[in-house]
Amino acid sequence: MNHALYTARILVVALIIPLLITGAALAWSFALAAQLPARIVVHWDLAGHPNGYGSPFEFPIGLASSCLPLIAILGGAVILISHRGPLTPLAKLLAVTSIWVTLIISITFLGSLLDANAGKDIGLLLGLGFGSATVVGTGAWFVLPRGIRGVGGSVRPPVTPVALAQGERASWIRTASLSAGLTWGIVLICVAIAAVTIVSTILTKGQYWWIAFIPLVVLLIALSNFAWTVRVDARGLTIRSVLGIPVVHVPLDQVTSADVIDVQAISQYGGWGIRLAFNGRLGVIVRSGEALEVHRSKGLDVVVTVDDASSAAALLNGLVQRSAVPLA
Amino acid sequence: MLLRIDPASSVPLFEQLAASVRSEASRGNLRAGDRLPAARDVAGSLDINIHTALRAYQLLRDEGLVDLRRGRGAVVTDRVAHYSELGEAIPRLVASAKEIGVGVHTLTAMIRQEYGS
Repeated sequence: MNHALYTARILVVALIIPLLITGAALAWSFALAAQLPARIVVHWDLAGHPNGYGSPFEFPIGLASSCLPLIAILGGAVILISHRGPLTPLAKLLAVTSIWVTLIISITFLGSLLDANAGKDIGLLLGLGFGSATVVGTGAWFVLPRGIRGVGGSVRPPVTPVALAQGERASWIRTASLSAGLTWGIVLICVAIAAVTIVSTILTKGQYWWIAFIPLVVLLIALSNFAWTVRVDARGLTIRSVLGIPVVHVPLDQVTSADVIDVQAISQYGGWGIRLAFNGRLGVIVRSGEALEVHRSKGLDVVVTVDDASSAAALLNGLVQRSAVPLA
Repeated sequence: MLLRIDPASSVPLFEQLAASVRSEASRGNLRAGDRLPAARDVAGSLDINIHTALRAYQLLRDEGLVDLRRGRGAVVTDRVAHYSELGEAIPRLVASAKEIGVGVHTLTAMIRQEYGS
């Protein structure tokens, strides 16, 4: 396909359509707000009854400040991913989400303004917004170029299996850990969440005290994904968090073969840590680049980013080859 | 790091394990500052006694290839660079020995003699 057209289709779905939707909704909501009295219903409770009042111009401002950052983040991510490599299903989903979410937000804000004078409940409106956004989003999926499916990463040439004698024991052990930069980033996010929850707990006079546990849970999940011990031996492949859990284990009798591949952490696996990827693999991802890919007879194939993956693959293939030879 | 041992061999297991680490060093797979896997993990993975793994690490410490520090485990020292130099020399030596039909026993005897002199 023509490269300019390929890029244009991505740009249109990820950026231009969401921006046009937001622009149109903004213009319309300004026009509507100008006709409304200075004080109207601006908020509804979960049951759909009005419970807040304010200026009608809060609507266009709210609309712009919700849509524009979302478009910047989602569209920016899609363009970055498609610039670096093939268009993955994840990138397509992000692009479609950009349209979906701006439509829902726009319809909700506009509908609220239209209904504001009457003070009606907005349940039906939200349903309508959700439905039409989903239809348009699904259509946008097909405007995008075809994505790359089922790829765990680019496969390197096969490795020569380690030749093992009967009775010989072999083990390959290596640690895979997140880079220092990422680790600090995650710690900072945890600190930020902790600050927000502490302030909210104080502001609500301890009414929602349990939210103070949120940063703790986030930190625990993050910690359990920081570093992993990757082991290949007669038991098969074992990937264990340095905290002890989680553990990913593929018994040797389920291993069919092992490869060395190069992966993109964000575009192919959606980030770092232990994850189920769109490409149908279970990933333990600490960075982009060299990774061990283990194909198995049942269950999901496993991908783990680890240095010297070729030695791991060579040993695993050697162990599989030896176990296929009947004992004399 | 790839570690291999053969329980059927007459060489003690801890010596085989140490030789395995040395061979990784001479192949350039280890760098100064790298940490060897914990002795407990190695023992569990190879189905050997943890004392055997520890003894192999102590042997490597005695020859200066690793530092053993409480809490930090076995850390590869700067000497590893010399091992990879040796790792380049040995295949050349073996290749020229093979070329003139000198077998492994004769070559090791020659090396031993060189040490003795």
